[in-house]
Amino acid sequence: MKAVLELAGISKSYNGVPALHPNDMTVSSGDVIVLIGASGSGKSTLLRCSNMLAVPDTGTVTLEGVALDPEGARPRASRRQAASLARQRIRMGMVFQSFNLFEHLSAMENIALSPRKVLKVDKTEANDHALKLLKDVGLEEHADKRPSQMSGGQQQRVAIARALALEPSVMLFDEPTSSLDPRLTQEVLRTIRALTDNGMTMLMATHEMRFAEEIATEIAYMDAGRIVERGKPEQIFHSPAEESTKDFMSCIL
Amino acid sequence: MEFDFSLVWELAPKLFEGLVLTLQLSALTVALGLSSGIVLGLFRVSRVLPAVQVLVKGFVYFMRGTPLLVQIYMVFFLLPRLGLTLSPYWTGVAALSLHMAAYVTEITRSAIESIHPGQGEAAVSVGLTRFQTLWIVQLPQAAKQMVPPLTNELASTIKNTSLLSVIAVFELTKAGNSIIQREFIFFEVFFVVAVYYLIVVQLVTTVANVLERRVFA
Repeated sequence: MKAVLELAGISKSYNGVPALHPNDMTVSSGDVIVLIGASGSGKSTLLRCSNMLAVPDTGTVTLEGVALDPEGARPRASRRQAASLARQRIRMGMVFQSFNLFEHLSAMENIALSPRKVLKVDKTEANDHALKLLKDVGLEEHADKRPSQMSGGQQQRVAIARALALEPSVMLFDEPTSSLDPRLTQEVLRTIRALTDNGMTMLMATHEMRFAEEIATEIAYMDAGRIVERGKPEQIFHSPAEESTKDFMSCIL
Repeated sequence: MEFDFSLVWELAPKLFEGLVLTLQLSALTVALGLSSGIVLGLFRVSRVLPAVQVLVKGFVYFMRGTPLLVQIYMVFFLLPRLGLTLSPYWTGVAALSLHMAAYVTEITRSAIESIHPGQGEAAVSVGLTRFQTLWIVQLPQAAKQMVPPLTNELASTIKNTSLLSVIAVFELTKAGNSIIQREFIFFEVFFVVAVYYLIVVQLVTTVANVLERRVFA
């Protein structure tokens, strides 16, 4: 399978405290790789390094064969560096734990904003496409609502549609359901499952273990900033090799 | 000393010209100070051009740390030495605008910095440039929070125009003063002057309140 996203030797410290030790990860087309592990184990940092929301201290990120230039993420980046990073970032659809929809824009505007401003699609076309995406996530009647007028689950589905609007080659999910109640979690997971059914490539951090086991092509267990163990879901969940993985698994009900 | 109400009606139209000048000065100052303050505030949060950042920071530090009266004198006496001679009117507009710009810079900066960082991260992850992020995502959200402090700043600016009387700009306070010096009427003059300021500031506050409730609801 063709590698879509490759992380090589990625590490990151915050104020001298290592959040992520050097790690490698290859996400190939059609992969659904799920990162599991305790809070603070580095799952988010790994995801955020993938699209340079956090600039890694070491290592390289390669997307579709082209290395990302970390300079593009810095405030002093030249216009050209910033633009080239932006072109690569939109190939990675990021979904956040706290949704992060643009609070002052309607659901439709949230989705159409980047196609209009970045891809220079004309307004009518961008809005039509946004409506279609809203329909796909079952929210077409909420097109004109602001984020504050929607439930968390609805907001997260809009956020997924916003990421999809740029037709990414890989989706990055950073604990997409961690701030939702069980019912809303289910509606978001249904949306994500529909994406995997269509063959979307994904890298996801989650605490939804049953869901992870069901959709993952591969599970990576992280502990203290390291990928400790990775493998097929049934192997990681039912016969883990490492002590710390066993320990974590024993906590799952 | 007696307060003569009939004098108030006589003085009101005489001071009207001063009021108009005060309004003009305020409008010009607000147009210049507000726009340049917002631009400087955006520049501060953008963190580009570190050397210029220091200059802007120093400018804000100076303007907030020294009295406006001193700044007016500085513009009035320093600019001609630098070869730039402005009329008292434009000297006044320049000093007040610089003063207002410094405060608006900080209002803009703090409002944008109070926006949840997730908004900026989302904007960047969908490929917006830093400028687009500031202009399309962060500033519109910050605008609502900026209205109350900007209203304060606007009211201050209107009242601050009175300090331009020291460089012989015939705005409302100076106009009042000159009547006092000619005709020795104190209370009635200051009464009219005060009422005029109150009316203008009240109007501004009311408009701002409506704006806050309706536009940014």
